Amino acid sequence: MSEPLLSVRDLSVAFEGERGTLRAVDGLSLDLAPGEVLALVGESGSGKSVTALSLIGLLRAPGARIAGSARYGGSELIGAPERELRRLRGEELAMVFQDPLSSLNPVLRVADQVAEQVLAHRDVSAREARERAVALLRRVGIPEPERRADAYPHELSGGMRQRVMIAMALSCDPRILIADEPTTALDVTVQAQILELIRALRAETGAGVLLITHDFGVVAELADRVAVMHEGRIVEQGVVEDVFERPESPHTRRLLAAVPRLDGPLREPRTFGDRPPVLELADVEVSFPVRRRLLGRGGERRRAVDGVTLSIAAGETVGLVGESGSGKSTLARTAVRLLEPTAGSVSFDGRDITRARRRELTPLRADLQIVFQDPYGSLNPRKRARDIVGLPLRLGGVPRSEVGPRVERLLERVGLKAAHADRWPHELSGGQRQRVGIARALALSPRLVVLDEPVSALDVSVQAQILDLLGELQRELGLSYLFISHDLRVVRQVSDRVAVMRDGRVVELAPVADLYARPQHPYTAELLAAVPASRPVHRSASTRS
Amino acid sequence: MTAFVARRLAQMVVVLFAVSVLTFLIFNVIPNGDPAARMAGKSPTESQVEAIRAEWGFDEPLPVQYVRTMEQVLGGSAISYFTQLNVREEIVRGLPRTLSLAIGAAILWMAFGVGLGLLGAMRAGRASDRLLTLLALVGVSLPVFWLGALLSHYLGFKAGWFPNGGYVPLTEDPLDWAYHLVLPCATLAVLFIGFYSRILRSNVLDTMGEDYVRTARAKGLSEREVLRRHVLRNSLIPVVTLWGLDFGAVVAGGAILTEVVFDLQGVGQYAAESVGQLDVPPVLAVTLFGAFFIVVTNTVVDIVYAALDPRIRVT
Repeated sequence: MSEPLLSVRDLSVAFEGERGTLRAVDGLSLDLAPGEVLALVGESGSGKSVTALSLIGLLRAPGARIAGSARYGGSELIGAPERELRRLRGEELAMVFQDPLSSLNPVLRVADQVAEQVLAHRDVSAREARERAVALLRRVGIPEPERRADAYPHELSGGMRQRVMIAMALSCDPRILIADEPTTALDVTVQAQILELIRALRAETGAGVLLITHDFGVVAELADRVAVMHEGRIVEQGVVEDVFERPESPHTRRLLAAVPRLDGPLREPRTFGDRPPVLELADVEVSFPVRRRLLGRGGERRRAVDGVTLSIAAGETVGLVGESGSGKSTLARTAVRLLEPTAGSVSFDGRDITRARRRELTPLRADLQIVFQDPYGSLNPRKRARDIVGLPLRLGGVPRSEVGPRVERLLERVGLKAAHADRWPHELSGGQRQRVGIARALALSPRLVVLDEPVSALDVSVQAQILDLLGELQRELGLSYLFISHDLRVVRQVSDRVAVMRDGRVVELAPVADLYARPQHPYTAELLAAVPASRPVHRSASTRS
Repeated sequence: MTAFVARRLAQMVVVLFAVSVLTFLIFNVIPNGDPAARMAGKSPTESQVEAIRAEWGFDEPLPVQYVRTMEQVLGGSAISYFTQLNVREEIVRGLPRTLSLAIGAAILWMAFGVGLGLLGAMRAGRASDRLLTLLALVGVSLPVFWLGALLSHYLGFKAGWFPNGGYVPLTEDPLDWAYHLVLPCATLAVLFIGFYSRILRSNVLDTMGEDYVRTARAKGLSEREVLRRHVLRNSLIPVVTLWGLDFGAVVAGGAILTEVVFDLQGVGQYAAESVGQLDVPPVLAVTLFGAFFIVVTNTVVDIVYAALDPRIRVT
């Protein structure tokens, strides 16, 4: 192994808080060689991001204490003066963050944001900096970089935005690239492109890459070595093949087992042909006005859902996959009639509810429920879990005296304890919050639950628990699910049939085994090809240290 | 953009019509509002009042009176019932005074509001921040007529540092013009400085927590550049729009008390006196002018907002 670029020894980060000291990172040691990709893997809260931020002096939380050593090129990073760190940041140690939309300044043009970094470190004119910015945008694969240079972040797609972030990080030819969940916010096909880009740039520049991720699929695609973090410590470290083939730590084994796979077991094939459908969507179209005319009528409309026909039988799970902007969530809201379709029909239990009024829908709300993606944003932060789950019961006319006991039974049913009932949403973990969201949806014994990305915001191990819970509830209560996800691996694991959506249309709908084994539509095949590998991808040994 | 401005202009016509009708009606239902009786002076005879009524057309149906008065107001020929002075000329005379006061105060409150807000955000939680919070609270709580009278009395009358009210046109003597405006502008600005510094402080603190500010630091920018290019610019956007709206409101009547305290003889003071005399033509004219100015500043604010924040489109 060549001389390491970065050598971290005994790094500890502690937060002094009212409830005592929290050790976020506890005696962490690692080495990063030139040209190497080291993946730092762990669940949320394991200390990955805190590690990265402390290395480049960007951990600004009040009460944070950093101890230990991180040597880079003969200088010590921990406790280095801000001036010195500022010179290194962007110039030698560059960072790519998770969410490219929030990580780019919304009111500055992208080329200016790239050029700004060049100007901060290089003695160049504003014009030269801009030229370099445009060249960088071209290098990271942005088409028509001269034109895109003047775009604002919101005018670019998620993938383009992350390319801008990467262009920025590369602008001063850094020796180390720290990528914190660089593809987590992106669609699967875009993720594949970004991973490919990082791989190419690593080979081209010889920079060391510290890749922070919770996704073993990303690790398998990109990493040379893996360090698995758990509660602030590295519990296992090694060459990627070894960690995948012979995981030693129980934490690693648990994480690996929880990763949904394209080659894992399918559910038992079931037929629903004889049962009448619970939900029937026929030629559903939903469009929104894009631009208003002078007097506010007419104008352009955009079709978010464009002629979708789909039915779900009692007890069946239909998976719905597609990339962001394909119309999945609009379809979900239309299915439970939170939105009214522009054309087509929605029937529940054989009854046409396409144009049902709010009052007519009220009794149906008990049967038609929805669980949202973001367990942080979809629970009222000013209500306790007890009240969140109890509200539909009270609205459904359950006597006041019975609400309490039923809430406790529901919480128990989704794997929470009675003690959780009095917690506020912010006192619950992501998984616990999603359980509260599910308990709320189940409160009035629905027959159909639309699950809109129910596990996307959760760690893989929590994801697996929630998926198990949903399966159990379906078996016991005979629920029907419309399960929406951008993750083809998750959908495969839970669905009886799968619909693939693109640009508002369902391009393919087939039983799960058929769709994954023999995709009929080229887009389905493209999505499947982009799914990260579940085993390390074979790469040439020349890039290894 | 053109459609946006056209729609706003159309809305403005509706607003101005509604405002004028309401103002006109209020003065006709108000007790003791009969202009003829008031114009006739103390203890007039019935025939005198009748004569005035016939001469001024107060005996005609209300819609006819409204249309005639509006024609005069919009045509610039309306005259005050009591001073017999041309209303347009009076407004034209008062406007530079009101605008001088409003512009001076707006510059002061923006500069100090931003400066103190930024200082508070930089020192958030420390003693100096708490002191600024307290001062802002005091500033917001001081009534303009009290503060104005106090400053005018002690700094103007007693100490003789500043003129004791009055106005000198800019074209006559620019230095004296500015000198006369110091106290009124400061008085009017104090309240806004309190508000603006609080708003800016919390905007800056919110923006500092944004991911793109972390990105800016990760680029290796100096703290000053991070603050200027990424924090301050984004925090200022909502404040700038607020500034436009407040400026419009001040010109359209928010400066009345300050004008009266310092005897600036601006449009606000003119309006206040006319209202006191139930003098319909000047009140109508000033009200319409105020409504017009508010609609215009609102439209400008919306356009500027869209220019400052590329995510916003005017529709």
